[in-house]
Amino acid sequence: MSTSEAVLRQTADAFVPQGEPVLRRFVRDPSAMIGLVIATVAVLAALLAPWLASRDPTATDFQNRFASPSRSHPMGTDNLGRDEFSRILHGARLSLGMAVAGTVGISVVGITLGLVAGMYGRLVETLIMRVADVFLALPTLILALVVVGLLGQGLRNLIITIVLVQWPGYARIVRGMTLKVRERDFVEAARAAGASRLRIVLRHVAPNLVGPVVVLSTLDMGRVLLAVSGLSFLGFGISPPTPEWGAMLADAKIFLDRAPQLLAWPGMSITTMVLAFNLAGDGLRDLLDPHTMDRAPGREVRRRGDRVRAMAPAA
Amino acid sequence: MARYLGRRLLVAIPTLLALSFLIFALVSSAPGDPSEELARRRTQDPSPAEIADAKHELHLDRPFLTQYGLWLKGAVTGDLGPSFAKKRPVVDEIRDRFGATVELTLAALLFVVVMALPLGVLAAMFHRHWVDQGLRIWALLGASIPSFFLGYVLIIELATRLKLLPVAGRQGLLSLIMPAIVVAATPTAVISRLLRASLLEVFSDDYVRTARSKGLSSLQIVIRHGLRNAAIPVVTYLGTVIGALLEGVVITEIVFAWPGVGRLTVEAISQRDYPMIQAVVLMAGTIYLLVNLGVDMLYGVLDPRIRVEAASR
Repeated sequence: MSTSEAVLRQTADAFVPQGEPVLRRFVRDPSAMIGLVIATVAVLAALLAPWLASRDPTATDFQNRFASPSRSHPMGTDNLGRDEFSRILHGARLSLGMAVAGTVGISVVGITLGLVAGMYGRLVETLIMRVADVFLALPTLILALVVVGLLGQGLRNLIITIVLVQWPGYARIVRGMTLKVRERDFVEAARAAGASRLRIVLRHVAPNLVGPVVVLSTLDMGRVLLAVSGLSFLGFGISPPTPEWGAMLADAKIFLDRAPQLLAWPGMSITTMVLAFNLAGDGLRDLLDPHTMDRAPGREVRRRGDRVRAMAPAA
Repeated sequence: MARYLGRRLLVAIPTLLALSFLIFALVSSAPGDPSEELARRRTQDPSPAEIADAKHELHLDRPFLTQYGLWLKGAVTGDLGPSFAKKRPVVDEIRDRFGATVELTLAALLFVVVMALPLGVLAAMFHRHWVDQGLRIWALLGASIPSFFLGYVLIIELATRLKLLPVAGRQGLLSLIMPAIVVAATPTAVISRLLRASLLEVFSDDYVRTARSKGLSSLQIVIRHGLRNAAIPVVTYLGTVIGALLEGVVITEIVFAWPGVGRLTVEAISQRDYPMIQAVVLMAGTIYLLVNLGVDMLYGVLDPRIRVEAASR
């Protein structure tokens, strides 16, 4: 799902330091809180996996294949008798880790290129933005497939791929924001005071962009997780026997009749996490959307014309 | 309108050219030697002469830009080279698979329209009611569940357990149902939410208030005033939704062993069938571009203001 560009734009425009009320509103939004709690618990579980799941996720036990859940194996065992609970928890480290690493990578590359395009203009800007346009002219997954297929499977290549195919959206937004911030009075003042361009970029423009982009990338985390596990499901991720949710699902598909639960555990894990990120993201977006702020309950006070124009494709 | 269309088409051509260059350059820069790959598919242990032959056949003995030019010329005239894996021209293979993908995409689109429209309207009419809340959770779930997982859930429930539908493959209309649902899930979720939001905005407009005071029922208002006006923001997102649809097709075709272009793409990539990869990706890009163009057109049809603005610029 990539409604993200409009979301990005909205969030970017709306990001103004709000102080305490914002936090209070977020806490009062039950679905956002549920999302946040699930995400936090999952990340903690992933970090503490070696202690929470004492069994080796790769240790096989052929006497005990396809076991039902029991006290010693809370989620049963898989086709090689490996402890499913342990594999899910250790899988979380990789799946969530890749989603986080991918998101951080996209943000860093997107901010850098967007800033450079916005600040330096001319040839550099044209070059960066045209390349971004071409990347955006392909459906993300298909481009990702080609890149990962050519780079070869593996953890690092998967993350490189995700960053490579998703930076253009961010670069576009950041460039737009840079152009706006650049015209602000404090930048003018810095320029008048004789600050160098590099100093203006680093001290005055960049700090104003970090906040929004961090918010945006949080919003996007679910999408990145879906992309990563999708590629991994197709066989371009980590090689066995290391546990990873997408790959576990792919491994389980041949035992569909015999042990559907082996599909269900990793499948539900991915769904739950994407849902959690989306819930938290939704709450965050509502929070930062000025249109929904200070709205009396039951009344929509958005002005439609504004938004339609804001969403019209740039000619 | 014709002028607007012409302008948009003109802008699309350089993008398409750049896209074709990106695809060609990407695949060409892949590690490994395609000519050796091709020769190895023909004979077990190819001699240097055989490898050289393959190299010549693939134009790899020419400078890079010449290679690209030849490939582009081929693309325009419908010759995209021999498939490494299929031992026949790339174009023939794609032609055989194309129908299956079109069938799946159209069926999915049908599901999206049939599901998203009533769900969006319902959620808007029952704003802040439990119906709205329920639909919100349903939509969030639809947007969060990976298509490969949803596919297997359906197979386990509808095919293996209830034996209502065939497990996989392409055998008639029944086998189309599950894949179409899977492809449609995310777009349906997104569009029904967009439609809801957009309808709610329309509801607060003056002309709706007028209609309400005239005594029109909610449903009448939705049909007469709401949908057309609410459609504009929704159409803006159609391009992205179509992108999601194309992506969904790839994974869904794998899950259901659907013999379409999506599956062909994944096969080509894992078999390092370079000409095939270039061809299918170029095709996907072209279709995506044309669809987006179509969406822009539709947008102009729905909202005359945009057409005027674009023409005067």
